[in-house]
Amino acid sequence: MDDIFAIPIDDKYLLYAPLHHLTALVNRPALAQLEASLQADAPAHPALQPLVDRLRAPGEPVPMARTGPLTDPLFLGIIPTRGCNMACRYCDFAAPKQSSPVMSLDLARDAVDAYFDLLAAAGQTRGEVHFFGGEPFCAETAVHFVVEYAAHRAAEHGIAMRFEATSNGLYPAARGQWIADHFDTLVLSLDGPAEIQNAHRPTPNGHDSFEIVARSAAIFSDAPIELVIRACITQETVGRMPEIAAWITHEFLPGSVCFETLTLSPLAEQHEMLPPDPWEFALNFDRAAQILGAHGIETVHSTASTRDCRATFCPVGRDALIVSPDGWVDACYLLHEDWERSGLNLRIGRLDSGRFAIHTDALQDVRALTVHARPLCADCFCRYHCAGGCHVNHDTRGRPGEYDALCVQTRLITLAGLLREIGQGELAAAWLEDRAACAVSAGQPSDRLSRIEAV
Amino acid sequence: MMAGHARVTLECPEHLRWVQDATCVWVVDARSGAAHCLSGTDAAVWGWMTMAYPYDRLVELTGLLLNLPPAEAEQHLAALLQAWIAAGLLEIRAGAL
Repeated sequence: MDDIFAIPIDDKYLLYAPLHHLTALVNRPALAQLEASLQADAPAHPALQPLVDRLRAPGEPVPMARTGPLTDPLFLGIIPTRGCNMACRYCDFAAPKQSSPVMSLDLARDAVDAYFDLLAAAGQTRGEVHFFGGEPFCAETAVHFVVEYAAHRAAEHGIAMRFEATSNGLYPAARGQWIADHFDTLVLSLDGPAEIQNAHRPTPNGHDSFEIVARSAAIFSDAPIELVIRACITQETVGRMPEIAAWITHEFLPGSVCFETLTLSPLAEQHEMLPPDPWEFALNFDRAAQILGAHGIETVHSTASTRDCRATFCPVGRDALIVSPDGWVDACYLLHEDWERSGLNLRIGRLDSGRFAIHTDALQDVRALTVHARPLCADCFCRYHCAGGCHVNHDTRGRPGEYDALCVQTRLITLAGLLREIGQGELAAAWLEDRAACAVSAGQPSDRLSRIEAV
Repeated sequence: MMAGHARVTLECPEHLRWVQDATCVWVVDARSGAAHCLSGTDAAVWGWMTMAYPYDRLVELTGLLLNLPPAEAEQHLAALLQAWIAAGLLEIRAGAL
């Protein structure tokens, strides 16, 4: 009964057991019978017995924190610089854009060497390098070197490599083509058609960025690289999500589109930019997803993916080794100052003479940052997917069920996605239109079947 | 694609086409159909040359890649460029190697 959830959808309930890979829409009497049967270990009505049998069978293990020695890092993260060549009006990165240090090539080589030594010692056959910023391609020599050097070391060790980067797309066509030729995945920030992109993401001298970024997106669309378009949605653009989705299908060929909501920052407030209303975001996310889905494009919201069960939302806790330009090894690519503000220490070591000097205690502390340590998420049906979201920007120290806007949009999008997975698309669309019904679903303090009052 | 220092400027002949494959860079002579598969260090240097790095930077990158001191890295790079010139993958636009 532990991880079986039931969420009201109008006059029905969505029964969801993520560890059993079971989703079903049932009415209230059926839910009561199910609960009674599971509780008493008694037979159920024949129509319900298959569900009961499935729920009594062992599910997949509860996702837990990693343990043991560091032998299987999620990836090597490289932050070539914190600098950036754009001046996004909502930027929440406090690093200097023009004067941030750039990773030296010696340090970059040390990072790659340390990573491959670790992989080889553990007998791993796959490796991944992810680049973060600022804008990583502002320090392009470091990127060019790391990619070629990592490929060289991978060939020596017989290791299959993947390269991924998060980028703003503001560069000459030749750089875009090089990225398209050498990377497996590129997460490109592009907020929408020209007037949205230019209003949100101008260059530092106030010029428009759209044409150059759209050209990069077109280069990536024509290449075998997996393109992920990441669009930041504000209160002003939330109603245009379906239009943004349709525009993307006409112009580009991404594998997926990731819609994320604006994170409030002093700069965003200065420009009077606000996050969208969570219900409006969920409603328009679903509409956009139908448009993109019709073209074979997946629509993603980072906390609402039900693809797998996980104990932590992001690389934090999964042994990612993210090297900053000054040689520190961190579990998170966000700024040190931002973790500290949230009372976290995500520093796990340092590069020392070409090896990772990892502090075991710090690694264990970071690994322990799982959903099990996030009280707000204790009774939420999304706990093994969202896992509480960003450790730095989402405060989950509140009491179970006291959901905030991020929780509400995650819950609504996840519910709509689950309904569509079981062929209840019409119900999902109608339910999402009904704000009051969504408020009931999203506001249920505990989703655990054993604690549903209606039962 | 050009690489130059005080003595020479090199460029890729117009009839050559190249493409990055999963494991190598294919360089094809569109006139003769001859194809060269560049892998390992050769592919890395070719890739950096396509980004128009100056010669000194290429020496530095090659040295880091192969863990060679600058003088040996320069020797290695010069030999590679000579081989590519001989194979028709590069041609001298100005100066002498």
